[in-house]
Amino acid sequence: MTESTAILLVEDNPDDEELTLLAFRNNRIANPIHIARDGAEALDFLFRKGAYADRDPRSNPRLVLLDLKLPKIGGLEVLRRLRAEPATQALPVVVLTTSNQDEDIVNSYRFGANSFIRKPVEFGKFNEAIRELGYYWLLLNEVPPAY
Amino acid sequence: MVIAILQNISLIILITMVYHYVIRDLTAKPLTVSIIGGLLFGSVSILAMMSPVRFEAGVIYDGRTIILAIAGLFGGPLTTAIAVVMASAFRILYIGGPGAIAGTTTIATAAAVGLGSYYWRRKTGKGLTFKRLILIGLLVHLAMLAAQLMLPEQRWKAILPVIALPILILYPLAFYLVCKLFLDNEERARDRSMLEESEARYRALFQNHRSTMLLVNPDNGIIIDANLEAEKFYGWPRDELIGRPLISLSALPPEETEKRIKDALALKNASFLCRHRLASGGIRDVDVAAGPIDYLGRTVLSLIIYDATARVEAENEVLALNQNLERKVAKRTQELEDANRELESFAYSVSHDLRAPLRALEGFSSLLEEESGAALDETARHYLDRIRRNATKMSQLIDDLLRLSRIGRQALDLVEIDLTAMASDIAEEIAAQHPDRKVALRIQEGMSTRADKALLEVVLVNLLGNAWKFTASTPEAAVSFTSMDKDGESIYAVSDNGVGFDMAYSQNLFTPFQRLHDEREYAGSGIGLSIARRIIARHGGRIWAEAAPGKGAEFFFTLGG
Repeated sequence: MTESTAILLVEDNPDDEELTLLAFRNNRIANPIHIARDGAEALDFLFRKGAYADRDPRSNPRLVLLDLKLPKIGGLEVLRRLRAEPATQALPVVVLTTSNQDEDIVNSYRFGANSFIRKPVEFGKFNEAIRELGYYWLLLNEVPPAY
Repeated sequence: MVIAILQNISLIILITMVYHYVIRDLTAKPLTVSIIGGLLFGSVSILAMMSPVRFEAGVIYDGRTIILAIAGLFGGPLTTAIAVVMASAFRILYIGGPGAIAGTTTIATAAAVGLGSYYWRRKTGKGLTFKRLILIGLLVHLAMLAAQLMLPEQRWKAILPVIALPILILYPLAFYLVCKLFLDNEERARDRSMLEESEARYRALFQNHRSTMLLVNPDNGIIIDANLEAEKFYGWPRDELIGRPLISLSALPPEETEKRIKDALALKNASFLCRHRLASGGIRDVDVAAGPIDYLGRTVLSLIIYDATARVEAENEVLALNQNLERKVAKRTQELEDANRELESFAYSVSHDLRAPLRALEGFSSLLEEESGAALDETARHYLDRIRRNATKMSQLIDDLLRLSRIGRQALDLVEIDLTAMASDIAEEIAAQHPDRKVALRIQEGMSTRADKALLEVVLVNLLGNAWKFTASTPEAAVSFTSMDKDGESIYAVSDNGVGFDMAYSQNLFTPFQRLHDEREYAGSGIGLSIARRIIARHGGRIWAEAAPGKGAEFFFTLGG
């Protein structure tokens, strides 16, 4: 069984989605990226429910990039639920959000985020952040055996 | 013969007791007492002379000496005179005989010794002791024996040997005993009058006291006395209050009243609030000070009642006002909390939603420049640059605004702060960021205060940072941080010798995004001093500035209590 290299990007803003994808492309990160546009979709995807009931478990992501302010189910709630499930308990989750409110940072870590990155306004800096994020989480970081 | 003398003495004692009973109630009229006393002493002398030891007709020995001496000693001149006249008249006119002159002389000498003792006692105020009384008795009877020398035919030679010894022994003793009776009586009379006075005093005190007072029998709770003020307060006459059960006055449940009576008797709750009924049907709030009074082996319950209606009404009013106030405060607090929550969610939205479009603006402009830059001319690239700069700047403004709003909401964590050390650290850091600058820095030693450490650091970073910034073009830049005491308050000052500003614009100094200097010359979002002012205000302090263009600026602040 080949190890999955997919990334789940949970992002509701189409501009941010596009910029993020551009940043990935700029940095030549070619991992398959799946996009969920709200918290509910993200959970369905992860737990293979609803529209994703038939998803191949081999496409399980090895990294989740999670926005906090999301329609339907918020990012923190998504985080809490996926940490409550054994299957996704150890899945690396990087909170990638606009906010730099202290309570968001504190809560993210409390709910089990592995990292908290604030999206910089300047695209150059954002590009850099994505590069380092990809380098660290997709290359350097060892993940637990596939779930 | 001794038996006869004793009988005589007994008679005297018996009769003096009668005397006491007769004059006891006449103490208020001295003249009457003297006259009646004289008549009584005279009568008793006569009675004594009627039961004598008789030697022969006209020669008799009896207790008249004792009676007349006592009349003198206790009755005074008028009494003595009357008694002497009566006794002498009886002796001379009725008995007569050979002893008439000696007998009358005896009467006179006894009365004289008694009266002499009366004056001596009044003058010296000395007590009549056993010794003194016996001495007086002896004097009286020595005079009596001496008077026997006046008997005709030297009868004394036969008589004196027989009577001298018994008379000198028994008569002074009898005199002493009778005097003792009189003295006891005097004392009793004195005690009684003192008691009467005391009784009258305390009765008047109770009756006329300005407080409403009741006395209650603790066994059955019946009112046994009430004073004039109680009559006035309750509106029942005293004799209607007396005999009424205390419970009938109380507007509290009977068991509650009974419990209070019990507590008061046990001295457990000597003062309590109660409600009492009046004759008019009204009900008054009263403070009752209750307690047991013990006298002559019995206990009564005393109650002092103060009308507390006005006070209770005022208290209730205050209570109602307080409750109302509390309700209002709770409501306001709720409103404030709601507003705060709203503000927080607003800030949260700002932080998220207002920044996202900026990121898109900046991001896509940047991508446009990157990917199609070659196809654009200089002007178009300049415009793109302006768009990107402004997106970045607005993002900075949003961050600053959020910071400002957060300072107003977060709780203060007050700790002791070494201001000198804090300012030194900050200055060092600022200096490190501007290695090209040379600034003469002076920070006063030993400054400390109590404040929120993180917030105060923001203030000092702002003020010292400004001082650095606005001395950039000053040849010999100098910045100082000092403190002074004025009216018991510490005033801190951050001074510089930089560009300063015109005081005419100083009202804009602490307003968010108001700048007094050209943005291109002096960087910054224009929010630092607003934040500083908000932090100082949170501490209950003040911040103000003094400056002149080209002459530097001085920022002062206090940190409240």
